[in-house]
Amino acid sequence: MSQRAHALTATGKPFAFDAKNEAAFQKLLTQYPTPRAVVLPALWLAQEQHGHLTVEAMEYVAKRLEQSPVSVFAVVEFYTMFKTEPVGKHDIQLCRTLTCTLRGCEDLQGTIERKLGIGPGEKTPDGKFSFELVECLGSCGTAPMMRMNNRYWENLTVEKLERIIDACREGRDPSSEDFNRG
Amino acid sequence: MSVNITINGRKIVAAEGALVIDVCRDNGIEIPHFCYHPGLGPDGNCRMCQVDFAGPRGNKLGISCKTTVAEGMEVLTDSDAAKRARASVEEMLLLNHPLDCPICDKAGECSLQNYYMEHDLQPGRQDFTRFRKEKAKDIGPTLILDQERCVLCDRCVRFLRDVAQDEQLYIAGRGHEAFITTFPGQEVTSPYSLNTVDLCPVGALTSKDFRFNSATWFLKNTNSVCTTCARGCSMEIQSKKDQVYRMRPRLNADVNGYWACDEGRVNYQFVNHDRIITPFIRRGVDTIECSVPEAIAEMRTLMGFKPAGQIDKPSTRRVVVLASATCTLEEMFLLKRLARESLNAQILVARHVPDGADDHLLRRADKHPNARGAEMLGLRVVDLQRGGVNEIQDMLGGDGVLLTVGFNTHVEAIAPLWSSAGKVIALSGCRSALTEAADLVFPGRTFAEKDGIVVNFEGHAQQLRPAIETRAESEWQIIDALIASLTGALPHPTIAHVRKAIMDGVMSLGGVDLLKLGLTGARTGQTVAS
Amino acid sequence: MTPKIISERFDVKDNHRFATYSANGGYTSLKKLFAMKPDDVIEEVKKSGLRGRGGAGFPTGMKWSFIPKSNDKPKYLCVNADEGEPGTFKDRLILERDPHALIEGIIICCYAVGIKNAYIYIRGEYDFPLARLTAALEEAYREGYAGKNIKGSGTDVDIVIHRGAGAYICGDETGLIESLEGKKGQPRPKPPFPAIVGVFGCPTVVNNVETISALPWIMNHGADAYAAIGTDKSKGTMLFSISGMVERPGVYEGAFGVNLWDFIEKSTGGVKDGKRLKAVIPGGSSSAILTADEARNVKLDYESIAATGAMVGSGAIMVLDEDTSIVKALEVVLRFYAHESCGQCPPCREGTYWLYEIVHRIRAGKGRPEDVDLMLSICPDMLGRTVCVLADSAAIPAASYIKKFRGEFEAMISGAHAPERRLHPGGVNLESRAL
Repeated sequence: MSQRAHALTATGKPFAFDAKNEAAFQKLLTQYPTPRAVVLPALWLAQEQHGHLTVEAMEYVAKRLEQSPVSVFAVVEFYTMFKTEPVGKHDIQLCRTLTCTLRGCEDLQGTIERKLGIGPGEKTPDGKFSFELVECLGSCGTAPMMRMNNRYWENLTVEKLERIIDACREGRDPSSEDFNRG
Repeated sequence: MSVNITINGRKIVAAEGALVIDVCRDNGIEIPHFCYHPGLGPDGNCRMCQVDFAGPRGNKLGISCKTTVAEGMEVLTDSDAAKRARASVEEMLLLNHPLDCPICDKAGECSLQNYYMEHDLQPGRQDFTRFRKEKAKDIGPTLILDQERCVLCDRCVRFLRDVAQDEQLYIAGRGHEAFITTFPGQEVTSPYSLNTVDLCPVGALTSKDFRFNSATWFLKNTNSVCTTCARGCSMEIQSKKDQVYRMRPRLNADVNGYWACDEGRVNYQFVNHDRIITPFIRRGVDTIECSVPEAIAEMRTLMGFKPAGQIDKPSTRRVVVLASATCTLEEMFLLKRLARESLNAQILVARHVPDGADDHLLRRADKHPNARGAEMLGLRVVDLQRGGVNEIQDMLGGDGVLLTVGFNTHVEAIAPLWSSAGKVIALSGCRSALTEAADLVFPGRTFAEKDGIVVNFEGHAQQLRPAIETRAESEWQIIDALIASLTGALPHPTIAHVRKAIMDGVMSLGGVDLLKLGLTGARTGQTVAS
Repeated sequence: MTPKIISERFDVKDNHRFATYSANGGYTSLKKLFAMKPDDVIEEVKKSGLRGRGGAGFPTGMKWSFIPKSNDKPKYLCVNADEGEPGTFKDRLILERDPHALIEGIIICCYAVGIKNAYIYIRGEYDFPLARLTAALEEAYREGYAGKNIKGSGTDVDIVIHRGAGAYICGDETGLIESLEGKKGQPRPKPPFPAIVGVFGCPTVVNNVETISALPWIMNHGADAYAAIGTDKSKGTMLFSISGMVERPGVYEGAFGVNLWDFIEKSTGGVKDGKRLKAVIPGGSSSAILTADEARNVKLDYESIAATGAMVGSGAIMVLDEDTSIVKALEVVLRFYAHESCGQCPPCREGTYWLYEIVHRIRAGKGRPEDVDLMLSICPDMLGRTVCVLADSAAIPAASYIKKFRGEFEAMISGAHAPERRLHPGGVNLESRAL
């Protein structure tokens, strides 16, 4: 968390909401009594638009909501889902908390490290995969599991995970490999 | 409304709504704390101020900074649980705290150090490699940040946001990895940034101005007043031998609260070098050092008086006495007497008011501490930037004698004057373009060496006290000596005598006793002397 | 037969759609609701004995009654859908399969307390529940069950879904409030309590998803019917998330008062692969652990579980078998708390990290004999000393794991490693200290 932040520099590319997000932003302003309360929803819009939050994007959100840039930066650094660096096309978030560990998430970690050659917090050079270990995702009944591409992949086994990764690599839809969904 | 409580069994009457930590302090019990500060209010995160509260179901720990007194409350500050809570918080803070004491500016005035000695004293049980963060990080023109030392008390954040109104620091991240930071690429530029160094209970925020200059325990403290603007913040001058090392604000509820601005704080460098200790006379390109009596004789000559020893008529030359609005009340009082009674001269008090408004907190556009004092003495104050210079030039008429007193800094504002004068006499403590142009220079004392009274823009009178010694005579004694040589009047034996004379002569002090101003001064009346 | 109160409609196809939900009697409680006085609704909820199902178990009706009656400030409801307590995955099912029950419950609560604005704070990772909830809310607005003048009743309730961004501490009620206000989710010292100073400085009710979702049933069947289920002080049912080393992990609704192990065994088929039971964590990772014996001899209700030193909490039951290393389990749990600590107060941010460092070192084979007692001595310094209970949530389990399974810790320190399940092919780098 902290070491990444220290290397953060401006990209030089200005940021602004596109038309769709501007409309969403305007609606958000009507839903809360203070502009500050819109900080998290606005950051989500910005991150979804660009893929991650640049220095310019954070300044933009701060300015639109009349907040100091540093307070917005502090919020971004507090919440693990806000990313200040681009994630992979397939952003593997493997749960590592209690039940998932009991049910074999370390095998899955080994699989990822072996197949993709990256460890937690790293990204493949071609930008296809990023991998991070996350805490309890609220899916202990279908452990071990991961979150990737904005959805959960549950009841994972080494075999299923390998097939999902292969599908991603080959440009196929990995959902087809999501058997034993439970 | 008052409330009856007990603290450690002792019956105490407290004001309704008071905080337990304040009531304890007012009754001689210092509760240790990091995040609380009376100028910022409580935060409740450091947990160091925990005390025990007796209750029907046994004692319960609570934070005294956020607990208000209630009727019948029983506070136990030294129960075993309270002591353990404090020692434990101290231990927790030391776990990841770097062992920087030997090189840390804060050593000697560090809460972490002090509380360890007062409340902990256990051997360390820390057994892992400390978590690393950024050290010696330049975060702006005035500050260096060490994230490892930070105890995350949030004081700097709250100060900049709530008091300085420049939210430029924040705690980012989470857990033990949280760190104080600016926005990437931005700096702390608030003109009040150095207050965060005072507020920081450890050495996380240090002042570039002071960094590594001195161990704090070698510094001598003197209670005095800042002279950088018309606010006159109560200050503590810290010095060693004949050098000023640091200035910090003192609490003064009537003037500056707990704070001071950066500009005033670091405006002491001029005290430490390029000083004039001995009078000198300029003959052509040469300067000849002389004694004060010799210099007074020269002054009489320049002004067209006969040599000393003879009581004279007023001078044959036109004299303009120009006092800086930095001069003290005593200096101005004596200058007025000199000008009006001895020299029959014009006397003006000049001040430097650059463009720019007073700000929302402390800083005043008037960059002098005593313009109000001048008004109270019945002197005319002119703004150099708004026609003051022209007016004085007219008075000098190309060949008058200009006697300047108290211009140590910002002398460029009066530069046109010494070209319009026939002769220039300067009472100045510091070498400057003025002293390079003057025909006769008397030494002067800076605020750090002076005993004197200044009155701020609200009429609040405070006493400067000397922090360092100097061989230079004080200005008031020089002026007094000059009056004596011209009129035969006896000089005042002490400055207290001058103060008494002021009190006898000046109506608008509103009953303030200049001999008893104390540490925080007193508010004078609003009327101006006729 | 346990009455299915919350999970009644979980297996009804398309129940998440308004058409099916209302066809099966959804939203009918509102008719009865709007005919009652709001204060009477609060009394009804009090009478039912409903307690908060997020973890604290606080009586719901009582919490509502703390909201001041005056109208000088608007009042708010925050529905806590942050569901971050490890082991818990039941609110998610409500959002996925019965979102309209939540919306109906929100109307009930808001009507009773005089609230016009409700925020549903949903954890950022819950993509699918969010999609279901969003669709359901849109339907509710369209059908006139949310927004202005609900079904002509004159009652206005605006509901906004607010997405979190990955912080367990936002499941704490004041952490949630701070996050909703746009800040870091750092809990506030209490007092003041949210009922007086909550979100945006106004009186606020914070209730868990399941708690709110129980309200339609209570309105429809009456408080007495709800109170007739369960025990004297633990009324009604709860959704129990059962996971770990069991045959059929899942969410199972149970009435309070049944034997804990019986309930687990009957619901899930017992320990997986015929292994021996070693321990049960009855209420989420914040709970103390129970030995197998304790689990077999305790009733599943707030009071009985609390008497053992553990808690019902969020109803997250995790089952550990003979092959599970308790030391490893503790390392994972402490790593979680060290990672999730908001960082405000020293006993939590430093204490959780310290405890984690020690147990990590023990697992990496570098434990020292004094480490067990060292950990036990750190725990009391983290209890009741902090702004919120995260520190307690780390220290209480830590103390209980060590006290009840001390032998495993000592064995690992002395070099006779406790058996682990299996080392995976890649080999986790135990030297890595990064959280």
